[in-house]
Amino acid sequence: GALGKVASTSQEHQLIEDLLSLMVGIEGMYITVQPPAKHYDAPEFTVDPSVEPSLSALVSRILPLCGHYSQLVRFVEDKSLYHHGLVNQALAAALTSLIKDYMLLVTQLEARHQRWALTLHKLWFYVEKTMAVMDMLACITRIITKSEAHGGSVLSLLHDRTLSLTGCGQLQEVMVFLTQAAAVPYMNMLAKWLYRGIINDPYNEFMVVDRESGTEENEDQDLADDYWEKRYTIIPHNIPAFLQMHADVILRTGKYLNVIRQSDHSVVCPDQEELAYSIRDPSYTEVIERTYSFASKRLLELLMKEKDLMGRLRSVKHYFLLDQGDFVVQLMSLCEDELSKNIDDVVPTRLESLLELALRTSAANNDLYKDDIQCDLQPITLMNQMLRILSIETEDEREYYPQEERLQLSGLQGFSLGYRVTWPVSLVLDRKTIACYQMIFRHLFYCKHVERLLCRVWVSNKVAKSFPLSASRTYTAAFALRQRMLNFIQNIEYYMMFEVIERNWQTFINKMQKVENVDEVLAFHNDFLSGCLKDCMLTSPELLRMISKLTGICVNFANFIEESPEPAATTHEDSQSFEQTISRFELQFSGMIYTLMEKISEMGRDNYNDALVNVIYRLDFNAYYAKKHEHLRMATS
Amino acid sequence: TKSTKEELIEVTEKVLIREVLFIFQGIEGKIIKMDVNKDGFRLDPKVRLSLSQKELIMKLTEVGWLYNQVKNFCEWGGRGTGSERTTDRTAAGLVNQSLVMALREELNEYCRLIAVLEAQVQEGGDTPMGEPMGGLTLRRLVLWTLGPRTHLKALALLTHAAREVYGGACVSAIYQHMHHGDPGHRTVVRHVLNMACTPLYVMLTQWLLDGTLEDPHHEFFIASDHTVSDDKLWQDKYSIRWCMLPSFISKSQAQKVLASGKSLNFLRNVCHFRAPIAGRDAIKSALQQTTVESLFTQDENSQLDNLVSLTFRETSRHVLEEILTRHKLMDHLRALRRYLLLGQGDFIHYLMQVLTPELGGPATYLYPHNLSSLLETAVAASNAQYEEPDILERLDVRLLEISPGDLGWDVFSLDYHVDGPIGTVLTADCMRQYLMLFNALWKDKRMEMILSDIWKEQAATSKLCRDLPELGVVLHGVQLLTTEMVHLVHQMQYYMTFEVLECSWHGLMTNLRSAQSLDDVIAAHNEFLKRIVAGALLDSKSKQVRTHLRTFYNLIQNLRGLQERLSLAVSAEVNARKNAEAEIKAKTEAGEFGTTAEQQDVEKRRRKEFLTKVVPKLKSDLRINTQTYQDMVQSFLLMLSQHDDQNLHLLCTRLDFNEYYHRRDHRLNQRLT
Repeated sequence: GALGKVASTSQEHQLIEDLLSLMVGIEGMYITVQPPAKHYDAPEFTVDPSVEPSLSALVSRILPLCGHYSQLVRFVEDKSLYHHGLVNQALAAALTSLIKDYMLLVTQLEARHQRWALTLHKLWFYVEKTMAVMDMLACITRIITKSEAHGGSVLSLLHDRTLSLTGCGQLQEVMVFLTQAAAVPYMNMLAKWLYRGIINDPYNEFMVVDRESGTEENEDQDLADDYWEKRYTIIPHNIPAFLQMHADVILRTGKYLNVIRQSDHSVVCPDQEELAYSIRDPSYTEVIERTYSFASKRLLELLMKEKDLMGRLRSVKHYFLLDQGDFVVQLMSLCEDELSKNIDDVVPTRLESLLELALRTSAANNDLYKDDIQCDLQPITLMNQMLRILSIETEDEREYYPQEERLQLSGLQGFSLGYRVTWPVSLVLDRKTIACYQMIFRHLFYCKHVERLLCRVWVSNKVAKSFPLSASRTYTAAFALRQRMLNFIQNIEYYMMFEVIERNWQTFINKMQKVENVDEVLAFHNDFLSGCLKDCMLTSPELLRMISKLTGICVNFANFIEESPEPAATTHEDSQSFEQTISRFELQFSGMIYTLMEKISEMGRDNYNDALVNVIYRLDFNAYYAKKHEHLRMATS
Repeated sequence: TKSTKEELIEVTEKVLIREVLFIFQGIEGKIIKMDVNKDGFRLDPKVRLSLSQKELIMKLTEVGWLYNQVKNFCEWGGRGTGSERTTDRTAAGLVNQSLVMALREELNEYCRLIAVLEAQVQEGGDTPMGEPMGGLTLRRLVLWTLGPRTHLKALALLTHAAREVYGGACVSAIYQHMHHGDPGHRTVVRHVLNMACTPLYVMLTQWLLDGTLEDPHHEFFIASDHTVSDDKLWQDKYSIRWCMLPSFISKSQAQKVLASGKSLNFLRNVCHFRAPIAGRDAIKSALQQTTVESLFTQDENSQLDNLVSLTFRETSRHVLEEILTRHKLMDHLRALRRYLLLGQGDFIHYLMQVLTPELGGPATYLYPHNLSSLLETAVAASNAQYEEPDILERLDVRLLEISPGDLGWDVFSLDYHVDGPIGTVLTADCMRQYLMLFNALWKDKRMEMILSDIWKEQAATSKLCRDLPELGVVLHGVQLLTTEMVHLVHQMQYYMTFEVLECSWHGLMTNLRSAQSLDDVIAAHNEFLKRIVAGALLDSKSKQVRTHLRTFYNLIQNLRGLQERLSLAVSAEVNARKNAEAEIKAKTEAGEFGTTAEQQDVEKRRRKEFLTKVVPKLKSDLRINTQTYQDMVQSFLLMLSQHDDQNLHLLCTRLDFNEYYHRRDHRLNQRLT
């Protein structure tokens, strides 16, 4: 029957009875419930229309509380399931304890009600304060469910809400309690990561993810290459807002620890303490800083002391940057025959044993790491390799693919050294870095080779003294050109070796003495290499092309001179054609060197700090080319 | 507000509460009945209840249902229904038993709460209205059971997970539930897991400390096979039962655990090490620091890892010490290298010399005792006599299986007896490989010897040949061929000694120096053998090359035949001529005519015959020999250069150092970059 027919006190009593039921989520007799359309919204309530309007209004003021309760209970039931992750579960547990308090209130009210000591007004008075808290909780749970937040993002939401409640006293305290409780699993994960470098994160909640988890066994090989970049990565949406500014440091700390653990499992950060969320006085900041400095120091120690990183780099410099003179000369004399063949005819095993011979007969024999050097033949010229690298992802990419190049590539052009590195030194000397070293090596090696060719010409020219006087005129131009070529190639070499590599190396060494963590080591080393690459003109396609053309002319010239017959056996026509060829070479060479110098000075105008400009003064130390160029321009204009 | 339908029975809330309390213990009452079909409870339709009462009761019955789940598991071990159910708890294994123990403890706690609630009902008494005063109401019950409900829920989840699994797998299943954000849930799981792991922990400690395995229900992750005898203890007796490995123990740790206990058993049963094992104190103190909990809290502390690594390190060190110092493994390896791998040059050389007359005959005529006395002679005559007597005792002669037509060379072999602990490293299979290697190396050596014999004979023949210029070409050809063969044999020898034996030996030594356990030693030795076998072209990949080499040996034999024929022919001819001349001389001195026309005729005919028959025959033989040899070398080089092994490419380059064959065959110029 309708409730309106009875007296208003009875109506009130019955309504309170219903309300108490609804407050613990059970449908009443006169107040009915319609489930919401979306599961995270509050249900709607309908009060028996026959009830006195003023009572009904008061009841509907209390009703939202029942809605909040059912929302909270649904949230708790839902989020306690395993797949919602630890943070959600912890949050649900914290909410349960709040709900318990709330239920205690309800049972107290019930006791009063049984003693007929409760009226709707009193009820309203008792629940009003709780209402605000429940409203806030319902609101936050709705946001979390709606955004399907998970792990770190839940914490971000909670943290934001906590901050926005500054000044609301009790409400903020409740939020701090919730956030703290919800952050416990997350902070535990953080502690494990910071102290031990372990990720134990079954529901993908943590901010760092390990891409290779599961393959625990093969630790030694092959993970060097992309290890540093790719193995551990940050998941941006899993970073809690209060850890946002530390995210990078956190990632690096764990990464360092993992590298250390691969050589020594027992490393654990000393004095560990529990990490806990706190809004005012975050103690975790200090912990993060401390663990970071521990890990980076330890790793640096590992690399520098135990793995002798500097020794390694020095050894790499010996071989790749032609630092070890006698070795290079030895290698060139030994391998010249083998390397002057076409690259397809070169026998790698023979080359390998020649290399070993060169290593063992030179001062390099005393190097600890000499066994790590090996041969590496690359079926592409340095020029094309550089161009290809520089043109990657541009439109020209296709253009630089060598078609028939392989056929005329000589062993010398394809020769390069390789270097075997072991973990964890391969962190610094990864494949990319070695490739950079190889490029510089190839460049220097080829220049050296051209120099040797020209020197050989010089030696063979020594017999010219015995030539008849008439012949010496024929040769004057050739000798002058040879001298200029030698001057050019030697100066270019000097420039690269001393002004570029040695200078950069010194800066690098100085920086390394003050280095504090591994990322700095990587950065400094990278700076060093890219500085060398740039100043050796390897990064500018135009300059590189000019240099390689110039060396090409030198090689052709040297070959021509070597092949040309003795003057005694030549006729007049022969010597004439000889002179013509020489002058053609002269023209090519001068033209090329002008363009090179012009280009360099043009670049120098843009950036006069560059070391590159020095090349001009070195190549043209007595202003010979400048004067001649002036002549030329005058003549043409 | 009361309906007046007559058939409905009225009940007070107190009655309902009493019913609910029974339900909490899984017992059905008058009003609330068990519903078997729906696996839950239902209300008696005859009882009149308000809607909210019904809902409240249904909500409360959930607790009873959860309790029943856990209780059933405790009684039946979750073993399904009907005939499969067994009351014999011991059959389910130790882990399951202790799991049930833990669950019972938890349930006991729960029953206490029910009792307290019951007491409250009793005290409360009835008010005139039939409503309890100050006692319990249904709503209050909801509040009171809030905690126990989550607790029971966690337990029910565990029982669900632990159904149908036992031992280590069961522990893994429970461990999965550890990852929960609710601290209460975690505590429950942790407690249960702690109890369930206890038997495993006890087994683990016993295994680590004494190497004993007491595991009647096959629950531990180490399995032992009692049928395996002691001499194969290390390889076959113990293994890891992967399905029983708890998920919180890593594979490498499991392997270390296996190795530790195995080492202890090895020391006891194979090395017959009776004295108490040193260094146990450190392990015991490490053990005291661990608890059952440290098994599954490895991400928080490293006690277990410390314990396992320490035990592994200590026991392995002990085993290594035992093997290396007391049983002198290194000496045995060195001896194997010296005798079976022909490392002791003077001994081998002498042995071959004294054996040559014996082994030249058919194999069936060989007597082992003859051979072993010859072996003793060889030992006594060479530096081998200064070897340890123990090692010399082990050295013996062995005849391989004789097949018809075999010569002594084919079946002769040296042997080295191994037994006891070193037999674990030098297994029967290893010894078989050693014998195989000896055979190959012995053959190589013999070829070298034959060639040097040929060379010696050539020296003699060439002296004789000064008087026979007709044979100069043949002799020169034979010498050339011999030199080529010598070159090949020497290069092969160089390759075997330096590239293969010396390098592998060096590798073995470095590996042994850094070895931390017997497994490392075994692995290093196996690797060593594998490298040598591959290097000696005896593995399956090089079968073709090996057969080719065998034809080469035949060619050497042919060359020897040719050389013999040549020297016979030469000496016959030279003798004949000498005789003729001597006769002439004698007759001249006697004052007669030196020779008659008839005699001269005979002499001329003989010489002509020599020139037309013997010399061309030798020439053609030589040509055939040379041709086949060069073809053989050519295809041999091709095979080598196409082989996977880099060292063989190097050998190929060395054999063809002046690129003679390179020019003959363009297939050798393959692209190598």
